[in-house]
Amino acid sequence: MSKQPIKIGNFQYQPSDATSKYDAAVIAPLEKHVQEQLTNDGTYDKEANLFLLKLYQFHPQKASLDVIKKVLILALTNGSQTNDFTLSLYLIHEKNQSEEGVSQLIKLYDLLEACQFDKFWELRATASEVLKSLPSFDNNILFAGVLAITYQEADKAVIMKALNFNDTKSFDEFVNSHNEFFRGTQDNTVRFALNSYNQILPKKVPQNIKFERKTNYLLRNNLHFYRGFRYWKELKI
Amino acid sequence: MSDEGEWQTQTSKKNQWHNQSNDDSSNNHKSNKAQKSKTEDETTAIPDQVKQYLTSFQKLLSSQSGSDEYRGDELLSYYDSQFNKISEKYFTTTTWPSEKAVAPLVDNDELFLTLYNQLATRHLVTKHTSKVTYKLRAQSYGTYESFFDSVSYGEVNFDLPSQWLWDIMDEFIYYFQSFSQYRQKRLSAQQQPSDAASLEELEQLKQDKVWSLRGVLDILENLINKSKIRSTLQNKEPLSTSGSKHVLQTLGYFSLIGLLRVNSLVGDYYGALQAVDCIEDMYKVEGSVHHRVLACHATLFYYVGYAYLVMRRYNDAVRCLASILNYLNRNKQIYNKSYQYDNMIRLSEQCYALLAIALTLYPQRVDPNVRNTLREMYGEKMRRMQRSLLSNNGTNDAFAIIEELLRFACPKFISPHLPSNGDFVKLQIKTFVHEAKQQKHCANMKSYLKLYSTISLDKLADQLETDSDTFRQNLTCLKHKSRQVVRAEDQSDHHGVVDSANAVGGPLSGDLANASDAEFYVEGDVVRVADFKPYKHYGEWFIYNIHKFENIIENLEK
Repeated sequence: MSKQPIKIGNFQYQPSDATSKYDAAVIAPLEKHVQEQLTNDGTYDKEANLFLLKLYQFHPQKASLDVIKKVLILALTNGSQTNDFTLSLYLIHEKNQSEEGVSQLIKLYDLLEACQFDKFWELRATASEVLKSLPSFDNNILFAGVLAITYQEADKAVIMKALNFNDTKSFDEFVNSHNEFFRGTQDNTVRFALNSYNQILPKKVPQNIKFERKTNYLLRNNLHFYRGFRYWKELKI
Repeated sequence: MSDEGEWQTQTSKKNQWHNQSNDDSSNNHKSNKAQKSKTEDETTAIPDQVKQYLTSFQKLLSSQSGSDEYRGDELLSYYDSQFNKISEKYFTTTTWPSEKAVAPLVDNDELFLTLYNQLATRHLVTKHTSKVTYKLRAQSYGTYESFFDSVSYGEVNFDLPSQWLWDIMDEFIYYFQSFSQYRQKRLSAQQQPSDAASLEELEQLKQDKVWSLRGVLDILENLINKSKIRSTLQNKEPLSTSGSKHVLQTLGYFSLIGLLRVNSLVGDYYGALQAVDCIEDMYKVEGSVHHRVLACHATLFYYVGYAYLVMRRYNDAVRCLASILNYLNRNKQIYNKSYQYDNMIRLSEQCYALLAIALTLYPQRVDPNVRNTLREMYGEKMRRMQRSLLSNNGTNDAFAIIEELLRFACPKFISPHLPSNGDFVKLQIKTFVHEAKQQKHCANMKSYLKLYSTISLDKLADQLETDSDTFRQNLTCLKHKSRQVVRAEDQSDHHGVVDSANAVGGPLSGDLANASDAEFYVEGDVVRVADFKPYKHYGEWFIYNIHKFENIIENLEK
């Protein structure tokens, strides 16, 4: 191996000597990269994080439970749609999965995926002792996104409970500052912004036939066919 | 021949293993006369037909280097069908003669002997499993390492058919798999062996020198880097079809698929798909490299399909698996007589099992031929799973079956922890089932939603025997879980016609979309559901009938 920079996701590392990217030397800088993702919003890098978990598999004695928890929190808050949390679990040794903090995170993840948001907040509150040492995380925005693909309109109380708001004023503020999810509140209802999920759009039926394939028939057959195809193409049935 | 000579010296300089295994007869012949005469005996004991086969095989191979006329098909027949024929005739109970015995027959042609060694080892491993020893495994690692090394440093001047190159790569990974299992078995055994030889072997296993995960990954990465296959594919440059560059590029390409496999085996599914993300023409039938070799094509689709399933991309998983099953069905004649036959049959069975899981969790339209076979194979299991998922009080029967199917259909995982503690396979399966359980209400909810266009939330909750709060959560869960990453359908579906301008990106690409056939939303306390009419595929229908009429007309004209 020559002295080449190692690149994984947005992570770059220039090793001081010839190292392959599977060496234990890459672990420490990757761990720093995880910390950076926690402090700067919007820098989530699942590729680097999953790779770090893989390196932990190769060098089990170097695995840090603390960092594993951080990676899981990042997956919990950023990667719900792409199944990142489960993908991480495939790489975490069973022994580490049964550690108290990790198992609490797995429970939180289950509640999130089952959309039992109120229970999620309950557990989040009671499990704070175990999760105390970890950076705070906030799933309001994620949950709001999930609710917005289900509802057009909903009872304010229901949504407030799901998003863990106690007073109307701060909830209204939240609604007004996130118009990608909400259209606004009115008396006792919350109205969600329209998207392709929470309304019924006319269906487009894909016809997977290549133009070449059509021309094939076109060449083989006579003018009648050609006319037929022209109608067909224009009508887009 | 001078090229081969060069190849020989460089390889032997580089690798100790290779040296020992190949040149024993020439290096030690003075000190070890007894052994030499034994080798001579072995040489003379080879039946004439086999001798003839070996010499003409070697002549054909050596005439390939540097010549313009490439006789790939002929070479392939020597390599595959003739080898099988002779194996059946002469070597059903014994192994092929050793390299040393063969060497005098073929002028000590190093390249031929390396390849011969690989062939003989394969025969030994598949037909005489009990004779596989630690020493043999360690030796074969050396052979592969030096072979790949010389290819990646451009020290070879020969060409081999793609099929053959694939087999080399395939076996490399296969031996790694079986060695890892062997190592794990040995290291986790409670009893300490008593004799010195096994103790020494155990010590070597602990040191993890040969067939280590790190070593295999480094070899693959090295081949990928040296062949520059990633950038070649990304720039859509044509791959060379002959000469030593063909060998390097093709092996680089197969290393991508090797990396896909090894990453899957250690549970890194994202890394697995990423390894092959530069293969944008996965579904393309004509001209793609993986498609030249059936086993490679099938392997690619199986592992990608499995990774999709694990990533909760059910639409893509179904499309990928159905595509390869359809292909295998239609091309049975290609692998019918090949030694790969058993492997292909097993692989397609595994694909059907994965498909059964995907279709149970996310029912959708699938090719009619594939569906029929699936029904024959797993119809009963699928019905049982469905019944269990559709009951209001959701029993765990469905998940027991999913686990059973998965156990059969999953890749042969390798625990990266050494020595392994805790069952890695169990972890992989447990995690999948855990994820599947999160959506246990979805199927039942969908079946009820299908009955209505507008219904009050409380009423439907009543029918499902839950309270309205839980029902709301389950509705949200259904929406949430149905939003999946779906790779855009490029037009190059498995019918084979391709438009490169429409390429949509590698296997990892895709956008979030509603992947289920249930479309609904909640407005206050009312659920509104879209029509569940299945898609009508007019286009397919037209083409089907055009074919039919054309046939009728043809018949009439006769």
